[in-house]
Amino acid sequence: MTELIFLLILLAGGMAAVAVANSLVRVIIGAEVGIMAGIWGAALSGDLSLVAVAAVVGVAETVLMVAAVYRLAKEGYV
Amino acid sequence: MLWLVSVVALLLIVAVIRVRDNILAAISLTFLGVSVAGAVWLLHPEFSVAFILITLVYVVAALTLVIVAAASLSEDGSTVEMRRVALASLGALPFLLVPGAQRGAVTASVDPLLLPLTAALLLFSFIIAARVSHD
Repeated sequence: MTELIFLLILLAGGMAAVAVANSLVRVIIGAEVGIMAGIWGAALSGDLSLVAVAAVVGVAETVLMVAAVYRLAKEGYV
Repeated sequence: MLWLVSVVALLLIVAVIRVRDNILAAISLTFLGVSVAGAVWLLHPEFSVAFILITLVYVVAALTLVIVAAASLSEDGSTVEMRRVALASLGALPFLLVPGAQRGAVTASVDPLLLPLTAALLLFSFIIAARVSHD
């Protein structure tokens, strides 16, 4: 039960951080919280391979989102 | 012990939402990552070594990138107000009552096939990021 509450805290907290964001960096931080919910959900399954895949995908999406923010800042949209 | 980590995570998320500075929010995100790693350690002690390593790599990458981005950007006055959307995400609460799958056997080894696949994914994402940001 506590595992599911922790998962829900991470999911709803990430959504809330995105929903009340006042800058794109804050949106990235909310999405990172959501990725942590993904890592925690993979850990609940008890398979280390899923946890490794979730962590690597988290790194990849972080890199892509920050590159997109750089591009937007360079073009003056931020 | 897990509820203690849940309370800490909730406080950190509230700090991320309430604080006005992007860099402080990124530091709170780092502590949140460490608390998630600790929660996994509490859940499955077999996962300690590999997972702590992976999460530290992830947290350091996220912290570096977010702090660099936050230092190069400036806040504008406009605020995206979607508090109702945030409250609607609490609509997932009834799913806590749904009975879940029983805890199966723990597999504490990584499939070696994942190494080239994840390496290819990371290389691809770095190449795409370089092309996006330097074009």
